[in-house]
Amino acid sequence: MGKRPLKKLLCRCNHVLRVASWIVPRGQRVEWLREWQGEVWHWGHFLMESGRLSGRTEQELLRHCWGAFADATWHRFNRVAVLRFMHEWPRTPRFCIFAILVVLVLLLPGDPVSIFSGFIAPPPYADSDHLMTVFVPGRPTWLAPEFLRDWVFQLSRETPLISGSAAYAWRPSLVRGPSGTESILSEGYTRAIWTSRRSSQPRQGDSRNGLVIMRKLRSSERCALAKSVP
Amino acid sequence: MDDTPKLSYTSALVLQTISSGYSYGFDIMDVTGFPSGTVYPALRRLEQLELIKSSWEAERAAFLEQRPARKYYTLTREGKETLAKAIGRYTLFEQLVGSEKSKRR
Repeated sequence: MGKRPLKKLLCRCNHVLRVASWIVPRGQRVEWLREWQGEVWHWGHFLMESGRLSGRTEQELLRHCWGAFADATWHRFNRVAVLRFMHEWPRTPRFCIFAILVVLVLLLPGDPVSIFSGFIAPPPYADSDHLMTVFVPGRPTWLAPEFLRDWVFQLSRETPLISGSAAYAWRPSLVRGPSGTESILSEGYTRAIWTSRRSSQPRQGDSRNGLVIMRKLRSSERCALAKSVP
Repeated sequence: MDDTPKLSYTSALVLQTISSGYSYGFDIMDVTGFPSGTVYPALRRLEQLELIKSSWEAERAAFLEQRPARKYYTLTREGKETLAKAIGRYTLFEQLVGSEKSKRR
């Protein structure tokens, strides 16, 4: 192979090395690149002069160049560099608060935006003081949807303070009722109902009551049943 | 207390290779069979531990031969001591590098 393929090969290697050099801290970049380019130049010329320049050896040389990324990463993230970076990091109270907030946002599970909007936004249900939480005592952790529906209905009939009832299951499920199949809504629908109620203007002196029955499945899950105020 | 750094097998083998007279990255890779992504970070770490030191060859010599200058690595005194202790732990690699060098000659 002649000089032209070698020049092309060295050019390709230099492209890879230049990209990898962006990872290296600026102060060491020039020397780092010079060392790698020197090595590649010598390797390439050794292959050409010894008549070993072939597709396979070209690939080997290119693979060698990809190793520059590991070397460059070491320059940026080795223990001494990281410690120096931490030492020189600004340590003002304002910066510390900012760093803690960033870490909290990164560590919080789920969607951070929705978590913070929950803090800032008003409660989704405006009449939260008219809601009651009722736990089902002495019941197993799972109740049949039909049983839940009937139980809520019966409870709301027997209690004069409750003006209406609705059953909500952990999972959307269908139950058979007198008027055919009814759906028991999931927790997500409870939020939707609350939101729709927020937009309606309550009348002055309106003493509505409601019932929310929640069943804890696990420590993080709840709301198997809920009653919304009509 | 013994304050000589405990080297990994890779670092010790790289150190042994430099000690055997292979003084730049390409040669070390060729002898050890390690990829460049292993050899160069090992060289940086050894240099950081002051077990080896690097030096650029004279620019003029390289210029006269119309080639870029190379960076050479040599063992320091601490490096020689550490290597002697590492050989006690890794008994085989001295033979490995030695036989490779004799094969190349």
